Amino acid sequence: MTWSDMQPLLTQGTYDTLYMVLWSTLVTVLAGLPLGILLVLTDKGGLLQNRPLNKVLGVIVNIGRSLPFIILLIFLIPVTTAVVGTFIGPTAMIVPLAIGAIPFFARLVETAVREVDHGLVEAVQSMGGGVPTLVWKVLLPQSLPSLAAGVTTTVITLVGYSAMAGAVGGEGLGSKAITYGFQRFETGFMFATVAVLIALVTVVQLLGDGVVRLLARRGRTA
Amino acid sequence: MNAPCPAQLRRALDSDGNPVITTSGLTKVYQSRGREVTALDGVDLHVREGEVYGVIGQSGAGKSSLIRCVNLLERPTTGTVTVDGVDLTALAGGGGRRAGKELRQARSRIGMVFQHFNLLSSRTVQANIELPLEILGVSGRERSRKALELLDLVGLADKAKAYPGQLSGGQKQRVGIARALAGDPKVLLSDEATSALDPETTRSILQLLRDLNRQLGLTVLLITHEMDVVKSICDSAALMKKGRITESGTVSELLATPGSELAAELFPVSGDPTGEDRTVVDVTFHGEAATQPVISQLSRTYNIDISILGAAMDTVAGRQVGRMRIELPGRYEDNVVPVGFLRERGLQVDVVEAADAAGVVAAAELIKEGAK
Repeated sequence: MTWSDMQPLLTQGTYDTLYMVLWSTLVTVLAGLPLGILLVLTDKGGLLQNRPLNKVLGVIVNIGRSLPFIILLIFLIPVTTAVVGTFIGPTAMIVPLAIGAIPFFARLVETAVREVDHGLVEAVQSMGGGVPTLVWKVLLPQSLPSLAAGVTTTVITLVGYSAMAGAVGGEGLGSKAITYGFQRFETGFMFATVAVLIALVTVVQLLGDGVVRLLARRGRTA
Repeated sequence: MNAPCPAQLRRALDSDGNPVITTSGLTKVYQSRGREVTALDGVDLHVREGEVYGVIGQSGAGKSSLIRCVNLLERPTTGTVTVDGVDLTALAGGGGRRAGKELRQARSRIGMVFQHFNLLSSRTVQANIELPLEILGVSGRERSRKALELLDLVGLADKAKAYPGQLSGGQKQRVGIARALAGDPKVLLSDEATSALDPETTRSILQLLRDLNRQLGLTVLLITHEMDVVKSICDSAALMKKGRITESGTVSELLATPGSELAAELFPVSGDPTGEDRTVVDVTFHGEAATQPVISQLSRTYNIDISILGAAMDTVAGRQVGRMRIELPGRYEDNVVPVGFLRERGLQVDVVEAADAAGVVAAAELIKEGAK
């Protein structure tokens, strides 16, 4: 397999991986952020303390976290088919990828939001701020650097998950590596795929770190 | 050991100003691992309009719970809190943890400053001060005008665009104070506002609070564990121990209360008698008497030698006050007339070496504690 054979495959694979990862990240953040915040708010001593709801959310998140992704992928085939109409192809993969990453990201959000100094919450309560004010003006802005770090970690996890998706009909670098590198014994192509994945993860991490630094620089201490 | 009654009775009699903060029968019981911890045990507090009121006590005395109950950051177990005529405990309603709209509105008229400033590191100084105005729904232009005006008031006009992380502790507290004033509150609650600051910064922050109290007619309720804070800015003070207020009153009332522990702590004097057959007397000067040469008058009138064993003079709430421990020759019986002379001059006289031995022990303990 020459470079001119590999190049279009790698380009297509990278494009598909990015497509799956970016869309599933978007869905993950949109769903995981409120879920993580809700986990904090409904916890004991939280602003919206609600033990039963907290327990239920906690159990759902834990179930999602404890299933190996490859199992979840297969397990969710009916759901994916119901939502997208097929379980094959990059668009279909967004469903299991997001569902797999939401509990993971929600826990990261929970940790980040918990780190916000309770004194700040108290200060804003003393000004007459209610729960929406506290969420939008205290919890989210104050935890923004940690949240950005959480998104970075989630994107990298999703890159990994998307490679697994290749095993069950997804597209992307993982699928190409399995089809060509593994099943056709193209070791050179396998190395090339690995190199692209490493480059991808490195770029995401560097970008994420840059954003975190930018956000954290505003005020090192409270 | 001390009698809370006289000061409190006096308070009831001469409360000329309107009480702007009143708590009655306030109790707070925490449930901690099945155990009940009583943080507040029936606190009655009356803070009059326009005064600086200090609650002093050691950590664990319940001061923090008290100030947090005043704006209902903590819900009292029983009792009522009234601030500026509004019964906050009634607004708080049932057992839910969420503050209702009315309570939140009432809170916005009570400013609060914190020991650790509690500024949002993600916002600039100006945006921090605008936050309470955002909550009140003030328009953008008006918010920025008000914030800059307040920054000017606290002497940080040039720091509007800085982030809290770039400020010193004293500057952060100034921002905290400006933020607390944004909603034009009638009352400012100060939760150990100077405890994280060095002595010099403490003085400047206290001066600022005093100025705001005078300029804006702001009523200030502060809690502290530092006697110096009470000494330098408070008009009234209360001593808190184990969830109860054991003494309270205006500073001059307290100084005039025989056996007042707060007075003894404000003016610790010590010194042992130099020999047998001596009478040791603590004399407290305040008001007019502080400027009169009573000791030399006493000496001349009765032709007796007076030794000064210890003395403290200071300005409390803008008035010169002092306390002196003097020794007169002879037993107490021989000195009834000179002691009467001092009392006649309007001084408060506490005989340290009383006829009964128990009194001596009590007084000695009082002094020891005062010296701590």
